[in-house]
Amino acid sequence: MGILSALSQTILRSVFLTGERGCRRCPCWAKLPTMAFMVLLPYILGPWGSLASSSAALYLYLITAPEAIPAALLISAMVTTWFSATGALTAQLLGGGAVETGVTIALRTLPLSLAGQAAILCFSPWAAGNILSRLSPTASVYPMLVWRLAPQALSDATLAMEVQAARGRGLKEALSAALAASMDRRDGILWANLPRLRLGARRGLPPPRRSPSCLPLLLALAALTLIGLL
Amino acid sequence: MIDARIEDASYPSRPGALRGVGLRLRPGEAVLVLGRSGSGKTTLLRALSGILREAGGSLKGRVSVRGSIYVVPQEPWDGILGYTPLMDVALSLSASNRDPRAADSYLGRVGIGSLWDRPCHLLSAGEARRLNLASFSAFAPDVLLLDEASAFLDEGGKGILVEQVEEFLSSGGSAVIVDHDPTPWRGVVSETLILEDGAPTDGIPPAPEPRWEKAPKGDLVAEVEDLWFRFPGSRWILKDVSLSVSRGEVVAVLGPNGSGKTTLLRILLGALRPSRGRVWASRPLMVPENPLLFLSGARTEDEAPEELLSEFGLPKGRACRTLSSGERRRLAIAAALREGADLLLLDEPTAGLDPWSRSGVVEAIGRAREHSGIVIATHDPGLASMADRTIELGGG
Repeated sequence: MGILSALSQTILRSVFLTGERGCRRCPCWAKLPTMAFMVLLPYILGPWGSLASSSAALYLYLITAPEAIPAALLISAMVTTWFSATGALTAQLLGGGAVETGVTIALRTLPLSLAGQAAILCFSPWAAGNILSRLSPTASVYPMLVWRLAPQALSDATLAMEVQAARGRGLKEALSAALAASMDRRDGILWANLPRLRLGARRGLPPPRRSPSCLPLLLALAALTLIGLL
Repeated sequence: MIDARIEDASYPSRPGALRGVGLRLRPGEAVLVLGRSGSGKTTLLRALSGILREAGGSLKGRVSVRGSIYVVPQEPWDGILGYTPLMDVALSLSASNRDPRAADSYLGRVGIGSLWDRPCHLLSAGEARRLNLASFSAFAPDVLLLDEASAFLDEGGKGILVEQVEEFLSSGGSAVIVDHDPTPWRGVVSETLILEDGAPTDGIPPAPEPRWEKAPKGDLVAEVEDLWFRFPGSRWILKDVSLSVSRGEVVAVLGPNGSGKTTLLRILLGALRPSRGRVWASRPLMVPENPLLFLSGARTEDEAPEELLSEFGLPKGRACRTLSSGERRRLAIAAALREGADLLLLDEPTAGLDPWSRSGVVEAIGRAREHSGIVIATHDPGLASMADRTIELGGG
């Protein structure tokens, strides 16, 4: 259970440690192509594409939440190890080249997992809420609510695992406590916030203060485009 | 503003949770609702806010509330919708059709302006409560329902709470205030409603004053030397903290909201690793602020034997989730006492408890120290004054 608790804490740190700063505040037209390049380059350019894509993901972390880099690397390493090890094992059993398969999978999985985390890091619930507010004021609340509840649920689950482990209880008890707490929180949030949930953001939402420069993200996009073209 | 006559409000698991309550409030008036945990106070607020049926309850009678309602719930995090403080206040402003760009000033008024962009799950309970106050103020409702809003607040925070409610009433709002502590509300409320077992009553006997017998100091159960801690990328939360706890000793950890009290308990539990320094603890057990995270059993008797349940004034055979907040905390502490850890870590064990429950809990802590060393993170000055030692955290 200690490993699971550490894992949920790592996920919390890798994507939910920051508010509206860094690349999260940049417009979608800059973020989406950057993400697309990060996913496609490993397939187009092989190992060099993987290197470029991973570097870009780490760069986005650096300009948004540098403190989350160790957690992001740890998660990527775990995902990469799992997929390349199982791939290598399967190749070995089928009589193929285990090492070559493992390395190929690792070179694609590492940038993909880093890009996936960078995409979550760069996702702005505020921007999504503002887009949805054009459909209806109440819809604008939901991206924020998801970003509010997901880390809270992870945080509660982490604490439940820590507390239950100290009691000598297992994962089942920890999950049961965390689930009860989540259901209770859902009811509590619904009750306390019913007026705000029903009204929604009737006047839209303001851009968070201190508008940052999107130059670092645009530089990453330009570099990835150049690498892709060359 | 409020005109209600509640004949009966019930839940499937609690028939007659509230009976025969009448309430009339004009603009600028507030009522203070007192009563033990489980006496029907929260049910009254649910009935007034119109969510009783959605909470699985039923209502006989009539409830008329004019204008918009805002609820400040007992659990501070339940009152937060936005993922950062700035967004939560901006949502309040936008929902009430006011300019969301003014959100900054509301955060500044409750003393959390510097936390504007901090993810809300990283706020302490006291900071979350201050955010509740900022968001209420930004929403500017006609009717305010406060459920134990002073719990988790330090003295400064309580001052801000009372000030905001006074300002709200003077602007023509009406408030129903549920609180175990009537002291801050003297001079603010126009009437008091006392509930006992779901019905109004003229008065309830005062809670007994809890006392602790002196316990002999035993072997060392925890030692902290030169402890420093911070989360990655954040400021130092704990700086150069040293502490030792012996069996039979109660140490109260004090400090303003966000000063690192809960973090210290989690480090002693072994859940967080110190950034620097040495920490040793023998068989620690922690009851967190949200006691549901401690309670893994479905029903009360899964957590504590019958005699302990009755000692803590808890019902047998009730689902843990249907207990009131105070009852949950008492149950968690009862279960923790049964498991007899060497080091018992209690995070705000008396927050939100009525004086009677509090008295029972404080006495139980006194009994537990015969077997354990106890570290309590608290804002309760009465509890702190009973501890053998206090340590004050502030800016680390």
